[in-house]
Amino acid sequence: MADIQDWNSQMRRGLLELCVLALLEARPGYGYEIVTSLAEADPLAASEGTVYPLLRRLRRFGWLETFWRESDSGPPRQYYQLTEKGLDRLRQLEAEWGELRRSVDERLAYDRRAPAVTAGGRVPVQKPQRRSR
Amino acid sequence: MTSGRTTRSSPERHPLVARYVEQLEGELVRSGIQREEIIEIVADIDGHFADAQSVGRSLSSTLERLGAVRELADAYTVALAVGMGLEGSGSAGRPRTGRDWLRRATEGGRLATLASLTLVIGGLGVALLLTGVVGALAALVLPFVPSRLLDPTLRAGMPQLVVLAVAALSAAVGRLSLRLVKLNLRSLLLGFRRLRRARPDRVATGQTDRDRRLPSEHGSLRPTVHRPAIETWQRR
Repeated sequence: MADIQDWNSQMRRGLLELCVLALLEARPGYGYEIVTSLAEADPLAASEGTVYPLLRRLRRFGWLETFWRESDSGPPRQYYQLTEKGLDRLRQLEAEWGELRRSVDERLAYDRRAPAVTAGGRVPVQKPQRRSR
Repeated sequence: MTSGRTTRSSPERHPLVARYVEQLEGELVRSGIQREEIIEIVADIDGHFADAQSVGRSLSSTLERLGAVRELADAYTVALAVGMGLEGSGSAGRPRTGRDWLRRATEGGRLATLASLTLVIGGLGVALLLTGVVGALAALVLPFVPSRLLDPTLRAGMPQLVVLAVAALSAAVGRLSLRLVKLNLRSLLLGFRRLRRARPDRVATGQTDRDRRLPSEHGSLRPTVHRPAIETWQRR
């Protein structure tokens, strides 16, 4: 069980960056808003202790920038918004994610019943088939 | 786009929140994170408490979600140390001062180079300082030494004022070198501390101990981006 948790955790880390950039593509957001929005996406839910440092890291890379904006309900908030460089990064990650997902889906859709191990110990190569849904 | 250094700290802040934020600030300072960065981090966390309170979230729940101060500080340290490793790291810009340069050098993992540099500059500094002190003493003492005791080359040597000036210059350069060594040593210590904190598995993933526990709280991961949450965000 611990292995699965570790695996989940590792997967989420990489995806979190993509999701934060994707969220901020639509409009700028402040810390609490970003954290709660990501928490709504249950499988991706990450602690504040992960999201806030990630925001600073993305800012340091120049993918995000910050500005202050007055709040209706209180003191000003620090907002994060995507930079041009951040947009490029988002496009790269989207492309990578698309490729990765397609590749993994193809592997998962592979018909496992068909291949039989030959005398030489090799599994005959078959064209991947999609599962019928 | 980044504007003034405003914090959202409010006078009616709960004592627990004040303590949490103060401790976080202390940890971040000890981690060697730049002051400007710390101000903005603290503003984020301070604002997080204020926003959570404004939507009626309990303080205990907010504290629980944020995790231990030390873990949060470590996560920031790791995240920012990783951030330094990339070329052209945006907002951080180019190092402007010697201190910035040294900090970059340690964060970039060039500790060996910095250690060698420290040794060379330190050796040079000590030599120059000693030369300066000995030269100045000699220049001051020589006029009182009977000329018959002096070597003829010394008697025909440079005038006393020139010797004094050269000695003072040498001592000043030596002292400057030693100050640079002191700065180097501090940066080296910070670098080593960061390396110790940034365990390899954490550097690779930016992962905290807290995240290792999270999956059990939030169920399993499905390999799809959760569109509804993003759509909700875009509609707001």
